[in-house]
Amino acid sequence: MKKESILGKIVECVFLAFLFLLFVFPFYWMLITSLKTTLEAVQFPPTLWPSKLIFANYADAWKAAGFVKYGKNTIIITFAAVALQLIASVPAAFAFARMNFRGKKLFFTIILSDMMIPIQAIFIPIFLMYSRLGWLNTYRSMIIPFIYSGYSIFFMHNAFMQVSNEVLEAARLDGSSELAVMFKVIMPMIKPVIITLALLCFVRRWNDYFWNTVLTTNDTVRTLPIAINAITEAKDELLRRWDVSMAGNVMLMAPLLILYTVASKRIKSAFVYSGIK
Amino acid sequence: MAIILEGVKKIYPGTTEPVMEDFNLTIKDGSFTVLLGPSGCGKTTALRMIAGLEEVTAGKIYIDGADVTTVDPGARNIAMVFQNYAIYPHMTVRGNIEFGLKNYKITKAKIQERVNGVLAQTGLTDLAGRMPAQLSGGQRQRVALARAMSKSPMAFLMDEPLSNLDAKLRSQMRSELIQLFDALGVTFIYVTHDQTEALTMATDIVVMYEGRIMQQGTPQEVYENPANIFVAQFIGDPGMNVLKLKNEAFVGFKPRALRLVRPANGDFEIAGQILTREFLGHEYMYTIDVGCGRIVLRTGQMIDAGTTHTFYADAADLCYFDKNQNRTFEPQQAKVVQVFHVDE
Repeated sequence: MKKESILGKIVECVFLAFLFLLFVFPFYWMLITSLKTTLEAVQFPPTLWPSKLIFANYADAWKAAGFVKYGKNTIIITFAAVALQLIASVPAAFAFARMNFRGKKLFFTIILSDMMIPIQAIFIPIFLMYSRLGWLNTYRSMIIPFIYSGYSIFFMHNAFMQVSNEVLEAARLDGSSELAVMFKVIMPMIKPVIITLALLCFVRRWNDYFWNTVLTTNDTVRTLPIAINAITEAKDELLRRWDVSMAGNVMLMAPLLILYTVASKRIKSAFVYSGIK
Repeated sequence: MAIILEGVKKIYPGTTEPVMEDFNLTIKDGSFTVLLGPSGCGKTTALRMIAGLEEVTAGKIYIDGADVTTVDPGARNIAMVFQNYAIYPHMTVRGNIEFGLKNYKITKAKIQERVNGVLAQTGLTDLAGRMPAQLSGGQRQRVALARAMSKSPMAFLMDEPLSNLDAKLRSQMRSELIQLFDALGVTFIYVTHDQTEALTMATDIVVMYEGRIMQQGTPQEVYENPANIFVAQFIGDPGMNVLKLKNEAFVGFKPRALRLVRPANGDFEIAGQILTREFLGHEYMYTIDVGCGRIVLRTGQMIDAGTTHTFYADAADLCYFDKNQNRTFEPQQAKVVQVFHVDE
């Protein structure tokens, strides 16, 4: 029995180590490539550690990707989209989870089914719509479509559902309006979930490549992921500059890592959140 | 402050069957009224409709003469204590009590005065800065009580507030609730399925079953003079033994009314075999097979299991019920057909 449990533990550890490598290796690869020379970055067989650390790649990436211009765009678009998405999704989810109104089930079903429609099926009509509105290449087209998110409503709905009904009733008996119940009682109780959702929205919008490409035809409001990708697409180089591109990616990811580190405790508690009963 | 439910009907959304229909109840001003009944009898529904947490399908609710049927819960001048306390987990003890007061237009100084008052009254002054997670079950219940008290409501509504506490704490809290009731002098409406809580605390008991009121009266009235077989068998530990007679009427007697010696006024007897004996500390409880079913006897006397005896009851201890299971004061003389249980 004891032998079996030790064996079980070993298998578990090996499996976890394998998963760890699987998830961490791409990041490690990105980091070391960002410090290699252009030649070493494409060398075969690849090296697991740069023979010489080239920090200049970062300066090159900063310049090549236009970090100041596209960084500004990315920050404006991401912060605005996340803030507006939370402002819209949280009250919507509260209403779906905790209020009764006519058509509630129907509307919620529509929202859920919307999550199942692949974007490839709808991006052309959306592009045409924004094109006719004259919104292409504007911040509007990069922010407004992202205010509504079925996923965010669903995510928050589930969190709201976990809060004990009695606490809300106690607040109503304490003379609170529905808005006060939401802002003063239920939202502080599920703060970790809101922070998690904010971070997930942030990552999605910050890293987004597809929509930002679809909704822009010039570089006025283009964002960093497109700019960094352009480094490797550049045709005037003999070799693709994977080293510089990876340096750009490291810089693109850095804010996300910092945000995650700051919020990680809250995020973990959101995923083990089991309701305050 | 009297509370009146008049012709109330309640159908929960998504169902067609009403949980109560034409429900009429008057809760006397300044009474400690306990709504007592098995689960699903509608007692919590009635309480929640009084609180305004549940919509009334038809009928009216009056609090202190005013029709509050459609008034918001927060504007009914009542306070409620929930079974699971329902205190705000993200606020300190003080914050929990202050929260409701801030919603009403009360000055800051007045709020502080009231909060400090109820903290002292409930013995929570030293815990005022603690978060609910740092409190025991009993302390959380006290916070819920303090929060209710701080509003100086006209009525306290309590939904099984002691059921999550252990037996010792429950009995201590019962005594504290009685003291609180005496001190505040306002109406208490208390929902429970525990008859001990009802009998010990109430000034008025409303026994409910399947959305209907089976009997309303003082604990003594309900205990001594059950209006029907349901109340007779629901109240008491265990409830009354009821036997169905050949003429479709019923005769009942409490487990303690049975004796082994024929009393002077004994006009009821039944033979049976002792099946089991349970020692309860100060007395024994016996299950007796009387041929047409099983009855229960409680006595201080020790009788061996397996033995057969004739058991007697004093005429004064017998309760008669008509074929509709309602109490009748006409003695019924007929042969016993079977032991009857109301839920059969």
